[in-house]
Amino acid sequence: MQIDIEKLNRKTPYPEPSEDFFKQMQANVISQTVGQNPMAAKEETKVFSLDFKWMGAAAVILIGGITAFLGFDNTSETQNFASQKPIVDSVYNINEPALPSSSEQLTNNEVTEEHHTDVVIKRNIKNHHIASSKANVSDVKSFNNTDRQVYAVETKRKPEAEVEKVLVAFTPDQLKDLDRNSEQDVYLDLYN
Amino acid sequence: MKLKDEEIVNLFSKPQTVEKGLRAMMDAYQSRLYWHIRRLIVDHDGAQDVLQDAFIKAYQNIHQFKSDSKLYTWLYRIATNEALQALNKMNRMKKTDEDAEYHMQNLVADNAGQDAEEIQVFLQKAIQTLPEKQKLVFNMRYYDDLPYEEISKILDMSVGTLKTNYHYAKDKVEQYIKDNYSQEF
Repeated sequence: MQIDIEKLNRKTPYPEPSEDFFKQMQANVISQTVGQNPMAAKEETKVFSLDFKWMGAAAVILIGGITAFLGFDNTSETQNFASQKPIVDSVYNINEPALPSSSEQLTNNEVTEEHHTDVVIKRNIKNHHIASSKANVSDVKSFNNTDRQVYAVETKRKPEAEVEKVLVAFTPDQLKDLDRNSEQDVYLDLYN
Repeated sequence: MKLKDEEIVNLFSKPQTVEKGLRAMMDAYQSRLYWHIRRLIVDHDGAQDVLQDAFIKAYQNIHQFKSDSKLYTWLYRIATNEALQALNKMNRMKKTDEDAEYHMQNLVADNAGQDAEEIQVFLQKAIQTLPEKQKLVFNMRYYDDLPYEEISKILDMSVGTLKTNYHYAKDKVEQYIKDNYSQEF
């Protein structure tokens, strides 16, 4: 069988599209091109390409800036660390019990002794007036154990002569006032 | 009134007449381009999508059109590229291991009209067995009756190569029809 395609009718076997097909197709094309104002879109695209250039330049600057900043940061961090070190050391010094120098220790001891002296004097005065007002029993009860111990130690240290000296320093009026106060304490104690 | 290519292109130069130019371009070439695409894609819906994309591309790149060539040659080139891209996409998306050639032949049978001549269906099936370039050359020469010089501009191939390709394609198609048509009848 001999076939010569040149002699055949040059038709395609597919059916013709409907009449509306090309109209619909044109409407679709128009809506996707002129309908969306693609001329403006083209301009936007141009601007966008320019933006990419600027964005690229900005990115380079940003990377450089970040790198420089991180470099600075490292230096400052080191500096901070270096400057913090003595602070940390001092903290350790604070935490650790500091060994006072001999002069400091002496001064502290003197201060403590003076303080003790004052306390002892005051308490002796008080004690004296309590004794003189015959209400020492209730007052003694009010002392706690710590006070007693301190008192015992202090009385050992201080001679009675010093107490007498202090008492001499008081005027009779002052002594009366102290006495009155001690009586008031006793009075108040009755209601406790 | 049918406008000349030059007049159509001039309409695109003014924003007020752009739509008119686009419509004139589609009116002038939509049918020829549709059938060119349809013979490659076979499926009607696929051909419609490709045709639309081709016109949209043409509209977007009309400023690149050089007046020394014919508008329909330029449009054919765009449509051919779009159709080949669509075919490649179809082949990539095909889930089955079915042979592409066999798939296209089945598509021809499915899309053929009820009143279509059997020999025409066989001719289309035979064309689907051709390599891509031979298929393009054969369609443009056999169905669209384009001169070799125009096909040369569209496909960027020499006239001699086109003639050789057409000759080989014609022989293969005739042989296919001879082998298969005689088996049927």
